[in-house]
Amino acid sequence: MVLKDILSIIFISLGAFFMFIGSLGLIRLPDFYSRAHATGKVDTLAIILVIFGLVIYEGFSVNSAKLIIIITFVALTNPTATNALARAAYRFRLRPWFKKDKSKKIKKKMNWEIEIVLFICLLIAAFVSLYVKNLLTAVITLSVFSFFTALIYIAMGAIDVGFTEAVVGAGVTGVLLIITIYRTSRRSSD
Amino acid sequence: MHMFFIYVSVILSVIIFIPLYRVVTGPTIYDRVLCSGSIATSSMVLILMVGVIFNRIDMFIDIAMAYSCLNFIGVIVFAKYLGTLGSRRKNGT
Repeated sequence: MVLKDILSIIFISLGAFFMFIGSLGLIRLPDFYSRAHATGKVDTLAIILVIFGLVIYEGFSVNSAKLIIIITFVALTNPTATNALARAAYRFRLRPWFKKDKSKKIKKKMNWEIEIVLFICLLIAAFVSLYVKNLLTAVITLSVFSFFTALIYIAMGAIDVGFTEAVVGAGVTGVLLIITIYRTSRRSSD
Repeated sequence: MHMFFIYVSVILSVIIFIPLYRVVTGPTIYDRVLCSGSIATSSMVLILMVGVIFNRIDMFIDIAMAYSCLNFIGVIVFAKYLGTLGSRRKNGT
């Protein structure tokens, strides 16, 4: 075990820990504006830590330069996207949360293989996108579905197929469907 | 070291499972968009981990980069759409 490996293990474990904290915050925090903190700050820190650990593991090469580019990009775009979303919510006059107690219990599943977890997520996303009534929710769950499909492809080793699925399914189709919803009129209100 | 990356990717795939709860039961549309963005960023890290496991990180880095770009564009389009919805509502139409 070299010092390099120990350092990268420390950084990646810290990043995974912060990612867990961020996901927990997404569930536990009471309203949208506070949940935006969980994904805007904690997730960004987690990704920076994990990728920095990978940079240390890779050493000094072209790949680590690309990883540093990814770090810069994520550090710029992740808070920007969260800010844009929170601004849209504020424009829509979403009310912030005031003190009122409600507690929900969460169940965690621990599985031993990546693909099984991803497959369960895929099934849930598929059924939700089929049975949900709100159109926008259906679009979002559909894009989540294709993210999971791409992840399953990638976890099986077919990276180019997964890449195509991510581009077409999550990117282009989602944007196209949103533009369609935007251009056409809707009878129901959300 | 190889086993460490496998364990971390299993843990990450369980962590990706958690915000799906909020996507399903989110009270507002903003929560759902937020959590789908969170899922996408976590899955970007998972892609990098899988790349390290397969020893082909040079190929996976580009995919992770494109993934994060796509996630950013998607969330921005959603925010733009919902923002125009809000300004429309403010004008009373």
